[in-house]
Amino acid sequence: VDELYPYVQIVLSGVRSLDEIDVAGAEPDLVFIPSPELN
Amino acid sequence: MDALELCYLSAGELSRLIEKREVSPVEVVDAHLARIGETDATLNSFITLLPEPARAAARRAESEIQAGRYRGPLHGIPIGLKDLFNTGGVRTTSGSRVFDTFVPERDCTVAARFQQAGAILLGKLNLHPLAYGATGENADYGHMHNPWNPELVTGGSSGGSGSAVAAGQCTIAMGSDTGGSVRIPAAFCGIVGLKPTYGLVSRYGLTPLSWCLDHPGPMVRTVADAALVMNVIAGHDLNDAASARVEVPNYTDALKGDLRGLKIGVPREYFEAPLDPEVAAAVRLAIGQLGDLGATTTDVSLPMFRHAQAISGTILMAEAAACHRDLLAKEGVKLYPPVRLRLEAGLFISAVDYLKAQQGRSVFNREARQMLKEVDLLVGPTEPVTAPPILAEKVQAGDQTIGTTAALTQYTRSYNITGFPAITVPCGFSRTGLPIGLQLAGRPFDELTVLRAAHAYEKATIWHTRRPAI
Repeated sequence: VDELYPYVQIVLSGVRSLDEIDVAGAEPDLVFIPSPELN
Repeated sequence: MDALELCYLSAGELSRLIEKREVSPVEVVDAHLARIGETDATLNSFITLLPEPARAAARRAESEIQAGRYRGPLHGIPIGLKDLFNTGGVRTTSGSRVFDTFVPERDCTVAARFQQAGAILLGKLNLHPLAYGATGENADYGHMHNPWNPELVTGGSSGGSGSAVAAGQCTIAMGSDTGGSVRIPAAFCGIVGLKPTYGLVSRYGLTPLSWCLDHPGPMVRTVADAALVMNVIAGHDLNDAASARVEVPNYTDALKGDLRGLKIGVPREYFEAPLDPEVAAAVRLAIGQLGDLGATTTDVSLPMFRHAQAISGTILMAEAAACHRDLLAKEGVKLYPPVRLRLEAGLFISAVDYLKAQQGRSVFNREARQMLKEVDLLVGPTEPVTAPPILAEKVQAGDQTIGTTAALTQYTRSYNITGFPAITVPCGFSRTGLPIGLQLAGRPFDELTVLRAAHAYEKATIWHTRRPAI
């Protein structure tokens, strides 16, 4: 736990940088295979 | 031809000699086994070596070819598979002692396709445990060592694949790439590494790390060999739920065109990120050479690049923890501690954060796809630095000191997020004699253009002809 706790803190602070991304109107991308069409 | 020369022939060159019966697969396999014997105490590329099965397979290949049953360009070619590709009857450790005695019943799809093509498996290659790390460290089976300087990392996670191909221990190796694990060791070891489009090469029978980011890919010494391998391994597989139903071209056809008319974008953010000046100079020079070869190069902007780490890091940590949740609960204490720590930390990522990262991925993809309407390829460094020392926690990239994993995945993660094909080719050497890689990425399923540009660059340069002194 002594080792895990500070590491989890680092990880979760890294995750917080997701807040900087403007995702308005974007659904989660759960179709993993990219379409060959660019449109 | 002496044995060392055989070990450094490309698959294309070797196959021409084998087809004409000027060289026997038995001779080829013996030369490679001898080379492994000379070098692997230093490099530690292999976890499991298969000398007798390989010799038996070589004798069978020789008989078939003598009887006129030549199967094609990989017949009799010695290969290695990263030790997370399941091989029926051969133990597959995933780089962890937890799986030291695990022997799969069946081959993964990639191994089965190689076998059908007549390739000869020399052994299973070392990796960062569970493929969860960018350096190629492994306390269970020993760290991997860079052939250009054994005190330095190979890069990971497919480190054994990188060192084996660079040192002439095998002609072809397979790696898997979740955040750069094919391209990082390929760049640090001075070889070619291709991460194909997500869904193009089956993941069936590979130990997963992240369902939406994992990509198997070839690691070879020439771009032409990458095309030869893709001709064998690409294509739909019913056993893989994320296998794409797309037409598979002959990738060797890509090697015929020149670069006239090709538009290549250079994201300016790549050069604003922490970057060793020597690497930057080599890559800038290479981009200039692509222009000399007929391509038009233009500066472009990919603002979402700065979020790649947060997006792919969050997805990777959550999915890796989910993939290995039971393992962690039952055998966690036996795992390599840094890997265990990463897996445990992943359990703390909420579903809300995971989905925010997947939303971020949508935005990232939209921006990248928009850019690829304007240019055919994106180019930049594969790595911001050359290979660092084994177990270094931080690296110096220009005037910035940053965490090793963050640095090593800085340029590679973007194309795991998008799933776009990306290749690294050698584009120079540092003053200290370490390889530098150039990364080219293209539109989804347009491996042909990626290979065409990489091949044209390779033909015009000499970097791929250098060999480590080992």
